[in-house]
Amino acid sequence: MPKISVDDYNTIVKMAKMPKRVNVQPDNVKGFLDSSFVVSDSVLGQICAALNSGNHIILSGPPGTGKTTIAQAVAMAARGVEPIMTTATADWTTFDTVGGYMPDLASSSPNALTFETGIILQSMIDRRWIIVDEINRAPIDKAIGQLFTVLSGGDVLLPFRNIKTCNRLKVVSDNFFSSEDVFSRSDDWRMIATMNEYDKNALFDLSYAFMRRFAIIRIGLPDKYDEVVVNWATEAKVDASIISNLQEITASYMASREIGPAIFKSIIAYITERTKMGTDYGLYYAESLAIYLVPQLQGIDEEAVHEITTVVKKCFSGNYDAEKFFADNVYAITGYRVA
Amino acid sequence: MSNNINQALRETLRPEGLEHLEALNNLFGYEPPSDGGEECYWIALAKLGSDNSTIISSKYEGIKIGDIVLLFDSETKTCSGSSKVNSVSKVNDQIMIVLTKEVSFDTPISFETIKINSIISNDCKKIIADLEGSINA
Repeated sequence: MPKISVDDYNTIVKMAKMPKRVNVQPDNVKGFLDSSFVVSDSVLGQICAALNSGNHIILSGPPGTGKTTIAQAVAMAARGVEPIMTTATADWTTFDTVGGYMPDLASSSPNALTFETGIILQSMIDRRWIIVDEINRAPIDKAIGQLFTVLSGGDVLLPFRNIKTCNRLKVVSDNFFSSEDVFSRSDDWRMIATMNEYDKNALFDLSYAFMRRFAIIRIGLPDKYDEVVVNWATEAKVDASIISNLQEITASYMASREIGPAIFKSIIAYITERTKMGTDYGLYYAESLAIYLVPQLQGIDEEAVHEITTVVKKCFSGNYDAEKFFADNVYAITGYRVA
Repeated sequence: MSNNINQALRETLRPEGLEHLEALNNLFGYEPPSDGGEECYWIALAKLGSDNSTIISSKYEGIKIGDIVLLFDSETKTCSGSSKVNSVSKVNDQIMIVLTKEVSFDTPISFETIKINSIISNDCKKIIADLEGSINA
């Protein structure tokens, strides 16, 4: 009788005892989010209801609103098992998602092949949820292939055979465990995708056929957004003039383009670290904005750029290096010179 | 005295296996402790006896009371739960293990499931493949 590790034992038991239907509640999700993370109860309610009612979901929204963090927390709250994380890419094909034949390294024959599962099919086999970041970076109709039918609860025969048994491989929607020839998509398996809404026109379009299989939930900016940013900055002991400037930026910037609190959290964290290295606070502030905020200005109009830069410059108070650094970066990204 | 022996068993002799414990039994008339030690986890491929709780194994590998066994039925190659070792005794060259069901699975797990599941470690997959090979041979 061979001995196995405690981890393997626990994994097997956990797999076997996974619930067969999804029942995730907002309060459970909050348990997997950092206490400083801000998301409205309404959004969590929408996500949980959509998942519990059998949908896969796409979380769409401006950058920095925590779409991926929310997706991970929801998956953990629902399953208690780490989800599979992946990022869609422009060269995704069914080989990446469903699978394909690969050399069989375990075989003594040099020409032997074996079917290797793709990442989405593997997540079904493992009964782990999958989070696909930036779904619109992939040509999704081509990449998902035969799994389209499976996403909506159907069974599908794959264009592959198990080399050992010669049986045609298939994916079925039931609650049994997968075997070597039959892969099961259980009722409680879900795909959560994220999509940055500012990219959606520049990348691949999602077909209506694909979107029909998902609930699309927008993760907007949290309530009392500027207060949240000020609280973070105050807690981090950021200089008072910078805090008040950040507050002004959130107000003026949001009129042109929404960006999530994570961007400001990064700015605050950067300033905290940078001020440990010296005292040129104006320059450090300019650096933090150039690194995190300015890249988000891409594509907004000249008037909006001037409005934001006018607010920002107030904080530099004649610091030539800071002003120049900021202006050069704005020009590089937007093509507009800061007056 | 009993506590000292207990301690000694836990610290030194337990990993050595049942034969040592039996030798101690003979010496002191002492029953190995059934709790307080670290439990081990085992995978078995066997058919339960007619009492539905006993398996016979031909090897001594240090299994002890309180250990946990995932028993795969040798006909269906599926496991419907995990069991606790209730007693271990030697019968001729074989060892008789009496199990009590601890955890019941809603959906039985098969060998194949473990082999293709990426959450399971490669060591465990190899153990499963070896066990499977032993019944197919």
